[in-house]
Amino acid sequence: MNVNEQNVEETFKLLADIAHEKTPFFADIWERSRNEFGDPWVKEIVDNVVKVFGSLENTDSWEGAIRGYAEFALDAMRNQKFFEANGHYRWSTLKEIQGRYYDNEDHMMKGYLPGMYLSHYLWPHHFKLLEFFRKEVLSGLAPPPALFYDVGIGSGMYSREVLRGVPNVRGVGFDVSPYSVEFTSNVLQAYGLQDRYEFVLGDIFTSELPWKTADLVVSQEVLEHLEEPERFTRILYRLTKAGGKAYITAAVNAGHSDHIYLFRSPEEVKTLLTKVGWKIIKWRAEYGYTGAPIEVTPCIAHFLCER
Amino acid sequence: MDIVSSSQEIHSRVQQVFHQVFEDSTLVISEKTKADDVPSWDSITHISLILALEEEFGIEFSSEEVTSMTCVGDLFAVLQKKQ
Repeated sequence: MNVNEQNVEETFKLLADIAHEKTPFFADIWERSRNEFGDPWVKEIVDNVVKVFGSLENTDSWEGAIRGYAEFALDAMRNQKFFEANGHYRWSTLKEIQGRYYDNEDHMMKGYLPGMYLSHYLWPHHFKLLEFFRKEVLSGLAPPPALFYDVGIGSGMYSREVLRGVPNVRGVGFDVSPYSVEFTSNVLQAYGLQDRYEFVLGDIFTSELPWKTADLVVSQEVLEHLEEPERFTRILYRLTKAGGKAYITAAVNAGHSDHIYLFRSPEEVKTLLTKVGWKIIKWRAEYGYTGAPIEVTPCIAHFLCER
Repeated sequence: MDIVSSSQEIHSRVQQVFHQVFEDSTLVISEKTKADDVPSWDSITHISLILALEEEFGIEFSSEEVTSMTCVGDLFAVLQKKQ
């Protein structure tokens, strides 16, 4: 189904109704985000749901995605409360989370990845990040990148953005999770972008890598999932050509079941990137709303950097 | 304890937890109470409620149980099952 002016409103209402009926305690965000971002946001989330999760006739798939979002949001809120109470994240090593989450097909495909995908629109601080990426990062790249790497592709949102926003760019997505690769592949196919993109499934810490070849490197909310974020950002640096750009983000004071490295301030991330050699061109922090004191309020620190 | 008195006890303890979480000692809940009936019952207070109930009853709700609840009756049913 193509989304046009006539059916955007009716489709959005249907989505919000499903959320209210099936996950009523996680449904208020649909109206809140609509009120904050307006009609363009409505059109975009409807377009995403229809393309990625199926057409109007496929409301079972929509319900699955909406339940996935509720699980993703619950995971974040539960772990945020744990963080507020204990001052640290629940887990601290990859070994503790790999089997529980990344290798768990049900968790990844039914909850985590569709939930994360929708959170890029439903969570105001995630959507602000996406808008910053479009307006302040992609539109300012001159000359436009010919090759980009997305390291830790997640649900594929940022790879999709680069491929959509930069005509003729080619991309490579790196991830340890076969489920992230599968989900992202579905997203890119839904948007007809798969021909300009390849996947590398594996651990970037132990792989042979094409050093100094990327015009642009993207790594969105990956650092907090790692035991050694500094070593990781050195790898990103080495992947980038001299003069090439990177968009690197990190969740700060943000509990989630698979967040294992605790950044306590945006400045801590900035210091790490600078230490590795990145020149920071611009940066910002987007805060979520929990009603808690600032030192335990989740935020995402995001940086446009240059090698 | 028979089923009726067990249900009454669960109701009473859940009622107390609602009073604490929503900071409203006049709040009266029934099986039919939904999010729309309690003005400040949103996703943030829902997680506070769930954590307080987990502590009160010494149990843990699964993600599916928490996300698919639609009314207080669903809460009672899960608590009854876990007793």
